[in-house]
Amino acid sequence: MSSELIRNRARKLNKTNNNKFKKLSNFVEYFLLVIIVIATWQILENMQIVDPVTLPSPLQIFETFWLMLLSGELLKNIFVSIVRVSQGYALAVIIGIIFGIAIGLSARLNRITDFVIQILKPIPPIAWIPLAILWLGIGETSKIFLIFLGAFFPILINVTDGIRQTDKKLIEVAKVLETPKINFIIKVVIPSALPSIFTGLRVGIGSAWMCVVAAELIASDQGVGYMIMNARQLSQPDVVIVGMLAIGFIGKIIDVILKTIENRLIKWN
Amino acid sequence: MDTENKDEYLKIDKLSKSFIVDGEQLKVLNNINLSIKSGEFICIVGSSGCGKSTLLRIISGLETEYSGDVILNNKRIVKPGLDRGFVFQEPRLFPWLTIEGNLMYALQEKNKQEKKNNVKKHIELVGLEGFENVYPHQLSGGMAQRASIARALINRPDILLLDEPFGALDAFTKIQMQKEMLRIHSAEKSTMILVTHDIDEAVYLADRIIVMSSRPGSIKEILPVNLTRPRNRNSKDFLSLRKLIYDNFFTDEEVTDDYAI
Repeated sequence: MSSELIRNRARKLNKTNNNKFKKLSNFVEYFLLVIIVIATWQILENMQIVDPVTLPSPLQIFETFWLMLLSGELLKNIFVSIVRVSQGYALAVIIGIIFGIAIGLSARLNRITDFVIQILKPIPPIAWIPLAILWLGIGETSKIFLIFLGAFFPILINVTDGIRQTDKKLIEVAKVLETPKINFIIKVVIPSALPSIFTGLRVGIGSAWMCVVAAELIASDQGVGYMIMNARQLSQPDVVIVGMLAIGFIGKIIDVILKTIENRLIKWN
Repeated sequence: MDTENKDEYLKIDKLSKSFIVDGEQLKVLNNINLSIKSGEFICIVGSSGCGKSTLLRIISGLETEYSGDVILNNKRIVKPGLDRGFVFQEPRLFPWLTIEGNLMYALQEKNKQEKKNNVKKHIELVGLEGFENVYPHQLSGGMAQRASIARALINRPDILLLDEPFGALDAFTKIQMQKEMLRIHSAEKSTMILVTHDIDEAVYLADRIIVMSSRPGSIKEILPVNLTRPRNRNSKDFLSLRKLIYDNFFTDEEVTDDYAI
């Protein structure tokens, strides 16, 4: 009896040790590729195989990053871009969700809008730049318009799909219980579409973030896109790379935030 | 309700129903005639594709196109209503609502406190005390089905329609649930119509058993079950009735698991 107890305890102990080891190895695996790339890159620079004028070394990029951070230049540009994205994205979220729900619920509205949406959807926001400038000038409005376009379609399409895919079996339950239409939408249709809605929000923010850079590459005197374009003209590849990485990191952070909200909100999955 | 109509609480008259499949008419129900008394426990048995689920869906108002008449309480059934409760084969609880939330959803009255009391009462009725704030995915199949029965009962329907409600449960849970069903039936005094392919279940529960045959679905026989409750599944009478149904109606047909369309 007691030997069995000990064996059990040992097994448990082994298990927790295994878990700890597993967690550590997962953590290492997650960053393994990044470390290898950076190390190889640095070594190639040190051996002078790569020309630092075309591709600066990781250490140099980090130094530039640090200087830009201290001078406030980096944060200032990031802030400008984030404000632009927030405005365009907020607009896309509101309009996209409202239209998505309406189109998802009404077969007629879907018929009326489908063709136009299908035609507009594949046009990349970048292709809208000339018109945006022509219509709205080179100020903030045209940039917000481009960001809106980038985020709007993924949100609209995912919301519509989510609404339309409400489980027929649950719709029957609502029918049998004579649920009033408004309750049906709030308590059945929207919660059931929530995972899809969040997919739209996440794809949408990714696209919005890409569009802000595109918009700033064209005509701007502030923002991450401008920072990159300006650095190209001044032949500062380290600044270009710092800008690119900033875009990547912020995109990742936004996605993590949305994912966290999603997990909080959709407890039942 | 006048005495004349007491025996015809639910009256099905010359009911036929066809579906269009690949452009062709497929008759699923043919000339069904049946009268059900208020408070009666009816079981409908039949093999796959005999239209028994369709019959139940017509009574519930989920299928609205049919020929003939289905009259409940002197009114022809044209749409779903709260006078009829429906228990589906699967629990079909809303996954984003807790058990309490699912029951609250079914109630349309405004008074919050009254609502809460009503929900509490029905959670107790099906023995789910302590699981009020649990989400459906955290419940076992049998418990989820109990919750869905409570949801169907909460508006105090005059008639409860059950579409193979225990079909997906294991044997032990199933027997337990059948006992609960009888307890609820005697407590609530509602009329029950239960569709099943399980002859044993029908003999255990029913006042009358409707045996259906397929293609097109029609009533083959209506058998009264004159056994006192609680019924012993191993008694001679129970077994002989069970054998009678099986031998007479199902030997020429394959008894397979039935899935609702």
